[in-house]
Amino acid sequence: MLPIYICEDERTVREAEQAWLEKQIMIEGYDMEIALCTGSPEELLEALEQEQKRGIYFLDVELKGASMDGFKLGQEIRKRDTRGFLVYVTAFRELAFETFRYHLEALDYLCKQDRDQMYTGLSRCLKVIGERISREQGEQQEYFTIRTLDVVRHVPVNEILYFATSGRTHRIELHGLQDRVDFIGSIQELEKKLGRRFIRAHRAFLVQTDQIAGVDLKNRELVLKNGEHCPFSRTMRQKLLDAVTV
Amino acid sequence: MEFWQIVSANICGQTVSVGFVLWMCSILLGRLPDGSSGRRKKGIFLALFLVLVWSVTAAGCYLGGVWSWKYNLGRILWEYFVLAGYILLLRVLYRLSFRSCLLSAVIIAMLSAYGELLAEVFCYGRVFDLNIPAERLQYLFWFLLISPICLLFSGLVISKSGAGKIYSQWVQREEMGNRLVILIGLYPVFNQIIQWLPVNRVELDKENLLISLAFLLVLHLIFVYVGRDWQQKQYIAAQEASLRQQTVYIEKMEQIQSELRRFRHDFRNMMAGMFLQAEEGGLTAVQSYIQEMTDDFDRQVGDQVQLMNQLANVHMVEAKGLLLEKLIGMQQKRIRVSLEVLRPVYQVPMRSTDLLRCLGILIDNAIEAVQGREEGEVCLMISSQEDCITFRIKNTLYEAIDFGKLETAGYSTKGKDRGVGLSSYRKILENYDFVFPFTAVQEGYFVQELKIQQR
Repeated sequence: MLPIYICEDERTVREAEQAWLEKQIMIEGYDMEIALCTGSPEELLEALEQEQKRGIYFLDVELKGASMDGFKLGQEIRKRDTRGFLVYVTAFRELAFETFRYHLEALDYLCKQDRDQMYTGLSRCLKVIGERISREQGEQQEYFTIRTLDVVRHVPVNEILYFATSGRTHRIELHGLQDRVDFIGSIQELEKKLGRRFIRAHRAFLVQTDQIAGVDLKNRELVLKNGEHCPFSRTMRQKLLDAVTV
Repeated sequence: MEFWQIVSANICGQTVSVGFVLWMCSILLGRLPDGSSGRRKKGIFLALFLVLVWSVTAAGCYLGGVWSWKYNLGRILWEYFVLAGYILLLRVLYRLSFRSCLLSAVIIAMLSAYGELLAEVFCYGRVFDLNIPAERLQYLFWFLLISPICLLFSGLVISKSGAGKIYSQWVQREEMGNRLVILIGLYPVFNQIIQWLPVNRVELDKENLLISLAFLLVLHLIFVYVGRDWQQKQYIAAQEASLRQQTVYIEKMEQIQSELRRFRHDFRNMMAGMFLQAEEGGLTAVQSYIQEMTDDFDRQVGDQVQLMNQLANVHMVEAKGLLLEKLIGMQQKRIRVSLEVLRPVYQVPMRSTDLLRCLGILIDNAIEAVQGREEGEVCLMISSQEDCITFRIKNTLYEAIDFGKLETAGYSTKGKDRGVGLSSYRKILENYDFVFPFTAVQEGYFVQELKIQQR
């Protein structure tokens, strides 16, 4: 059962949210419950210390009279619950939502000025969360996790083409089907960690075997499934041919 | 003195001067060689190798009488030989263009000439006969102790007095004419000829210190004067740019104000209408009125005010100017644009010209991608957190992107002669160890991100 937390400084809004959410849970039969409805961020964080569960959070952005604002609260929640769902409820339409989404992976934001809009928003959020949870349960995807300064990125392993070293020290470039990420790391360690799905085709390249479409012996290059090329060293020739033909 | 004795003395001397060269390089270029250990290791090996080669060659030249060639020709050749070594070293350590290497090398040669001349003051008018042990000892004392100290002293003066900054301008300027570079490259010739002239005319068998000193002083004055002049010009240009930006900013504000005035007029009419509705008791009508009014406000003024509010959080004048310019450009092209700067941004540990070029490239690419399309959107986000700053530029994606070709110069979904941007973007970033780029396709958007570690 997913616990729902509400943190909102206006009592009437808070109660309206709670009542509406409870009604929705009843009607739709979601596996969720209201765990806490409060005006104080400290109280919420304290409650989180007790329970180590993935939760749903409806947070006000401007918490009047509180020690932190919604953004800071979101950061604190993320430290305790990395996979929870954050939804912001605000009086202003001009919320910096991109920033909230980027740093806190906020799911949505709702405008509380228009009650009807807020209600439809709340219902929508529950629906999205319900769908996401059931989708995740069936999912077996493996992710490669990269930490760059203040963000953590998850790249599906089967979408990685190759890793390459760059001119700078300890700098690795991940080339994926949909992304290109620079991070600090060592290609030796990656090779060890990723195991047999990847092959060190070249001193500077660690290639996913499944992504190799062909071997261009003349130019000593691998042709990848998306059309990219990447070099390989002479000594790896036989190994690569074996890997590709198997 | 025997060959190997000269060589070993030379090795000591050359090591000192190579150390000086590296020190001056870091002052001139404002940074140490890049962190990649491979390059540093190569640099150290090369430096050791050069010291050895120079020492042996110098000893050979001394014994072979090359120093006493006419017109100081031997010395000129020698200076170029040394310069070539410096250039190679700079190239390996800093990966600069050949031209910058040449300029830096010549300037470093000039700077070390100050130290050398200073050292010569201590043995002015003396010719050491190295075959007499006592004199040889004196010479070695001068060569191995006095000269390095003088070099150190002149280096300190250069770095502390700020003269290094003025010289570094010469190296870092890009728009310098080729002729000037060649002229500067001829410095060793001038230097040696000038040293040679008095020797022959006055028939002295020693270098005329005063003339050399005067020559260097004049050169120094020219360099400083022109360098200052450049600095002044740059300063004025920066001021002008900032003034232009302020004008644009004020114009924008006036525009918002006049829109606000217009809205006030509409607002009064709407209030009157609402008043009537309320009197009749039509609650839903009043509600829709309020909704309409807020929507109107957002459309006419709110969005503009919002953009300006966000922009006000950017406290780097140049970046603010660039953003303002791009925002106005996008609005003129009717591109939907949003900007988010949640927390104030004061500075970024990147050279501001580089940062501006990077942002310019990314924003221009985003504009180009959505221009003329229905429903196109560009979102800019600048987020300043405790340990890093993130610039994020995202635009609606219409065509599949070939990640493999993305950074090859000339790749663009918009046809030929486009897309030089991203390859130069990558090139700029290669100079920074603490900047992390990120590119991705996410939820129908093309996202470019630049994360800069605060130091």
